[in-house]
Amino acid sequence: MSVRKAIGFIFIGVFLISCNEDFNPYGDYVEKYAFTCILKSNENFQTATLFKSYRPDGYDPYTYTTDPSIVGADIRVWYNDTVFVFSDSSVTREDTSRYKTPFSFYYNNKFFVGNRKTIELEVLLPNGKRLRSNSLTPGQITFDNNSEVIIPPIGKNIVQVIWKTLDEGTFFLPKLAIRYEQKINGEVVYKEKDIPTRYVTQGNELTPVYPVPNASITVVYQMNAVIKALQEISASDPNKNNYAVFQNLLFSCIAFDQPSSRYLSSTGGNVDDLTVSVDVADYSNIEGGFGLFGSYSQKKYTRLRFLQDYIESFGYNFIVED
Amino acid sequence: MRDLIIKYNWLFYFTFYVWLILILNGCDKQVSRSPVESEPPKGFIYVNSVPDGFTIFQNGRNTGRLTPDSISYIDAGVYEITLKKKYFKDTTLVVNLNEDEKLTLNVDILSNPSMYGGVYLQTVPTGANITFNDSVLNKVTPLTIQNLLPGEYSVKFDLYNHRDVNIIAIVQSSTINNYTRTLRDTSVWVDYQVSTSDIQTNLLTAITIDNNNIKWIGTLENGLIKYDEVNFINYNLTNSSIPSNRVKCISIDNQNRIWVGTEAGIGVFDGSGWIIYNHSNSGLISDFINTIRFDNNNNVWIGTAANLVKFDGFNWNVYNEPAGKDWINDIYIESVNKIWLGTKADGIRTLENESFDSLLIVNYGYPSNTISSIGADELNNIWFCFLPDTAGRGGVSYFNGNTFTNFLLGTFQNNVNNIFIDGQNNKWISTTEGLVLFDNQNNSTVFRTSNSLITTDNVRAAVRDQNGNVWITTNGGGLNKYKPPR
Repeated sequence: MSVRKAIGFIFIGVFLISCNEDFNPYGDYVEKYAFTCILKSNENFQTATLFKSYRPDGYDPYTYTTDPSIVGADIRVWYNDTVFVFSDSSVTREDTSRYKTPFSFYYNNKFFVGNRKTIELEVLLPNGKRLRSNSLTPGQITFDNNSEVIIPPIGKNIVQVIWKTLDEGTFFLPKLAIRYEQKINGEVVYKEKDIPTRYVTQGNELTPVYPVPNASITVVYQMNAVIKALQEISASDPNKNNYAVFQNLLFSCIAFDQPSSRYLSSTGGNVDDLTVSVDVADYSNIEGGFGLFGSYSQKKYTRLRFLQDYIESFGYNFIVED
Repeated sequence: MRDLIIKYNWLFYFTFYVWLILILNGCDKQVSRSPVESEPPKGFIYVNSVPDGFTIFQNGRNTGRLTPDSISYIDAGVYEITLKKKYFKDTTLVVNLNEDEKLTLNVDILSNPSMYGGVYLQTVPTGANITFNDSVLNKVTPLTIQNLLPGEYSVKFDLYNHRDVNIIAIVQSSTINNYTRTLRDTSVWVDYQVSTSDIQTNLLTAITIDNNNIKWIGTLENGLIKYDEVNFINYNLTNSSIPSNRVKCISIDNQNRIWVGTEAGIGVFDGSGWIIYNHSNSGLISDFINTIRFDNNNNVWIGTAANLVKFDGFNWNVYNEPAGKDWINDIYIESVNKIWLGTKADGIRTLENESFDSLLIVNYGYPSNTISSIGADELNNIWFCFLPDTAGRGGVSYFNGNTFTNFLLGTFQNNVNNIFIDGQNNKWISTTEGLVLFDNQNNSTVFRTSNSLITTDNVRAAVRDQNGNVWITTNGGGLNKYKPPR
């Protein structure tokens, strides 16, 4: 063997031995936790969800089909000098294409939050790790006297409701609905019909546009949206006498606290995003994990009412209220 | 071999350095690492107490946990553990927890004498028997009970001829709480109010007593109440077929059925079912029923807001004449051929042999033109109660066949609501300024809150039962029972 060949073998051997290592795109796996809880002012059934991170065998996360929810955690919320302990529960999962087990969640049905109150959270996981958070519930909303009172408004084609709050950076979600009764097979059934702010044309169809959470302190409803919503109550039913519309409309405005508002701001205001995933890092106020601990309060505006002649012009009956 | 190494010395060193460089540099990788998370602490404090159920505070903060429970997964350190429970003094312990230590705290609350408290029980008058947490103590007030565990204790005071009083006595650590209660004398007056009995409302109207000594009580807005001196049973729109919750009058027929006149018709209750009469299914013109009376021929005479009506069980006879004088407040049946009518604002009228007549105020000088109630005494004097109106004031009068004798009770505004004449010829007259008793000689006594234990001066009606007790309905003061001296 020549010297050159010997040197060549040595190099090849060194390269083959010394740097032969599989490439792995993952870092070291560290389990993380995501907690979501938005406390409500308008009902005492408060819910929370708790999940852990997972690592699928391959590169497709959907191949991982083990429910990542964590059960058995100790979840406590401090509110008004009282500690509320959440219990764990589960409901049947509608979509079982990925996870087969029931959907797990935590709940407490003994409190609802007021305005400008401190709320604190501590989650003790079964492995001893703790998640913590705190927030301040949103302040009171007051409706401005310049808000509309009657529908149809005089000399305008819009219905506007304006409100105020002392909080800054608050996101709001307004909702306007028609309350009505419908006779179905002789029985009177109470119903509500949400009114969009406007309709937009998409193709050949009119698509309703409903409010989404945003920082505006007013909402404007186009009268043609109100008209169309009123028409849609009976749709193609020729017997308009089966319908009776209540004098008072239902207008409510939800005010989110600072963490929820920031989260909504980071997600573009999609309220369905309140279920936080572990891999979403848009916003988090959970110490020791990811997620969102916040609250919202709801205020109703009760002065908005229909005129009797107006409702009767649609062929509907009119229900007078005090 | 040595020669070989020497011969290829340069090759040996060359190979060595190549190895060295490759080892040092060849496998150097840039690896991104997440920060290493520390393991959670494993310290535990298990807190137990006797008795249990104390809230555990950790360093002044409510943990929301009750003993026995543990504070788990906590760091080593000094912890202030406080146990709190309503009415108990706080118990605080300072503990030093080492790393990963599992510490147990057993706190015997009962061994601390300062945890106990007591109560001082007193009644006016004294001498009441005491039942303490359902145990008869065989002791009477005043009494001090000490060395009690803090908490709430049920206490009952009972004294003959006085209303029982039940209270919840609170015992706090290191404290003697004073509970002094005045026992209401029931030797003469007994009240049945919402606050003192199971009666459903204090706003009562009419009252009558059936053949079984059961009291039937009308209410202003809660329907009919049956009282058998044990239970108050309420019949209202939600649980019965009574036509209205506003009861104006109650009468008992010869079958012991209850005829209830309301603002929405008549309900006849036989103890199990209701028969309803109103303008849509009977001869009634008005559903506003003021009075119901029965004559000896089993005719039902009904005074309404529109007219006088006679019902013989099959046919309805409506008396419309004369128009404009048809609001009948009460009816007195003197005989089959003659009845007396008390009207609203139109004075006293009679119906004799199917013919109406009037006893005009200008001719007879009775107090007012609005008659609320009519009765007759054993001397066949006919008594009338008057409400104030534009023609005069409230009062009571009796008519002896020729003249009226007036008694102007109370103030000018006094509403004289009802008269009941018992078997001893006593006249029990209900007014808004008290209950007035005219005895057989027409000597009067007035029962007011200022001189008796009647619950209010606003009396609506009174009747006397088979035992001689007088049952009084009031507007706001519930039901009263008066036990006249025998």
